Amino acid sequence: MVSLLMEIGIVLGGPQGAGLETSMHVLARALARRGYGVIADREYYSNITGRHSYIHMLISSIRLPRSVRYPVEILASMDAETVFVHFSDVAENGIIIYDGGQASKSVDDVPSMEGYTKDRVRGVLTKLGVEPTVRSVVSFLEKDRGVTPIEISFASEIRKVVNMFRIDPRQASRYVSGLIVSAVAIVLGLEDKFVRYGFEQQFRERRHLAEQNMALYEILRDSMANLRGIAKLSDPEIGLGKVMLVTGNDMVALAKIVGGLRYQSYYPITPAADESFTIEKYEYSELNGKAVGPVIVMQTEDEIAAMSSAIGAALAGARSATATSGPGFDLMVEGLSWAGANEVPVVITFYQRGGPSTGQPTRGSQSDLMSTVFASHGEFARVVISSGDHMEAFYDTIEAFNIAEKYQVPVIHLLDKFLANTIASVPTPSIEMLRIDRGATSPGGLSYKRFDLSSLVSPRAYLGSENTVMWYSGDEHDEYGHIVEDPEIRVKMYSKRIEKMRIILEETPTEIKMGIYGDRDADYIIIGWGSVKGVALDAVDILSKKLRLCYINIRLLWPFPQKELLDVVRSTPRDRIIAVEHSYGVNIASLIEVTTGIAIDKKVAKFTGRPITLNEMVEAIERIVYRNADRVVLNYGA
Amino acid sequence: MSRKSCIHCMYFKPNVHYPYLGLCVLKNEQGSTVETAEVCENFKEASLGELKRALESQGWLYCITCRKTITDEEELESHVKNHIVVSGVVIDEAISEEAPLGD
Repeated sequence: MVSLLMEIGIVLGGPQGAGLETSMHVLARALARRGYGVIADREYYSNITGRHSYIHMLISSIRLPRSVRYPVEILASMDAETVFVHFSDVAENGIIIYDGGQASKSVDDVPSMEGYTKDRVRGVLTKLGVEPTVRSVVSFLEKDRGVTPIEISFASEIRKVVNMFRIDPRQASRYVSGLIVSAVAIVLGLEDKFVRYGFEQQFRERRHLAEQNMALYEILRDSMANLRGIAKLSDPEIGLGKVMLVTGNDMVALAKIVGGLRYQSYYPITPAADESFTIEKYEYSELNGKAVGPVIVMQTEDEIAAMSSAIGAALAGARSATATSGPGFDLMVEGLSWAGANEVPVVITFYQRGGPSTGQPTRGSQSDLMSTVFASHGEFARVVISSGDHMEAFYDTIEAFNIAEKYQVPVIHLLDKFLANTIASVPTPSIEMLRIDRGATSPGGLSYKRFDLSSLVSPRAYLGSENTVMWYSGDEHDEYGHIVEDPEIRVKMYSKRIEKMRIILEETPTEIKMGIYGDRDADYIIIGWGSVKGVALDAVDILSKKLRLCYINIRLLWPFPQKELLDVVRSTPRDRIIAVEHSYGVNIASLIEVTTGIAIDKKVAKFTGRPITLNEMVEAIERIVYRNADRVVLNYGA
Repeated sequence: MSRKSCIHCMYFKPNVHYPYLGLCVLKNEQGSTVETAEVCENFKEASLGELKRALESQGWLYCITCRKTITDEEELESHVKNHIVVSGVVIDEAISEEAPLGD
């Protein structure tokens, strides 16, 4: 086993609902507190409990990680299924932590595995000449790959702590997560005080659980003394000081509160609902001793009501948003059209997941790009922006409100499950640099014209303003909002709404439209958006020794920044532009072709619902560059 | 697995995810712990007859091997030969803290 690594990949696996989330949070907090950079992707089934879930982490002593990769140095398994599904993910000379009580289990003994998965695992093991039992797989890893097996009798270790504290046996299973955390912390050589910090943070309001888990850690630490620090990370050199350990959902929620959100509606849906729960948790906040808000968070009866109520709140003057995913957005589309017709500044935070229909509710995707850009009937101005990472998600959330209110248009903030559910250590956002732009407003009055045609953006008065009457309907209307079908008014009002797109493009700063990373004079340009950013940048870094690469992270998806993109790619040969997306169609390439005329033939697609990992991204680019592949479809990950 | 272990006892309710942990309904008040290799003097084998009686009285049983609920005798007979069938399971009430939304 190597020692003093700068980065370590870890997979924690087990049955969903049985402690995995807790393990991830405790471990991530302990490591972040120690000063390491942490990123953790969470993969789980949609059936709530029992099926195979896993946490895929990368820990770094030298940077804040942006992506995860295979193979991993440590596989920590809570059950037999994790061993079967992930054994091939373990690096040579890596470590596998497993339950000795499960050693005799075979693939056929695992009820939660789908038949297809069992067949595939059996097939792989047969080719390797390995019996489909935990013991045989572990033995193969040890002999063939130099992996260090760490067998722990989960039952006997947990029995010790249960007896020590006379714990209710119904709650004994809670300590499996603590056992996994302890074992990983021991092999990483993490100091006791950081392990304690992780447990104490996780169980802030249940101190006895922190103490009991620390006792379990100490029991294990003593019995694993010879294994302590066998995968030790070098001392952290990131030096960021204060960091936040947050999911993408958390980051958007915090940004909404900071940005002045006053109304948030939602109907529960994966992977969006956690954002609303976080806002609700902090709806009564204080800043310098003064109350902020509160934010009203409303769970409506469906997404139609969620959209409609958010529109109502916006018309009444509140910074207003709703959050949803693909199926929910489908129901919001009529409201989106209404918001477009009535120039309503409302924000829809859209977390993509695997479709179509219910699809893969708890898996990731970027397949709703076209849906957000083109959904709805009629023509009207809308803005679609995306964020590539947690920090961008924070600032873009506030920018979404600014754009919505400045131009009085609906704004869709397009994110995805990967970002929503990935927990990462990030620096605290810089609040001083933030800008709140509520756009042109009016006190109203007796002669107020809500849709005044003297400018593209008519100053807004809020519903309820004194001596002010305004009319809103779904029909075409005049400057007061009265329904009219006069062709001249129709042309003026229709054009007024759509022509906002032009000024949005003119006035939006380039850095909000797109980010350009790497060599401007690159051999190859990679284009992507959203959560492709982290893995693309890491791949550009790795390949920079032999290739000059540039990554363009498109953030303003609509109206599309064709001028800025053309400025960068105009002189690049078409066969040296690569589009990357978590979808079948790599639809960003189509959007670029529609708006700029540039046809992109080189594409990297992934639509398994699992995130693109660094190893497969590097390999995909190499296949395109060195083996002239046009389309590379990725499928790594359990 | 030997038929003489807690997991085969009518008084033992295993955890649904980690069946090597669980609750002995007889020892509960005395602070029962987890499954042990040795059985106690109260061991009562979960025989087909006992399981049938439990099924009749409570309307369901649970197959730990398949993680499925059993609701009739025909199902019971098909599972009981090679699987571990129990008359009750333990589900930690904190499970909701661990389960992300799945709708």
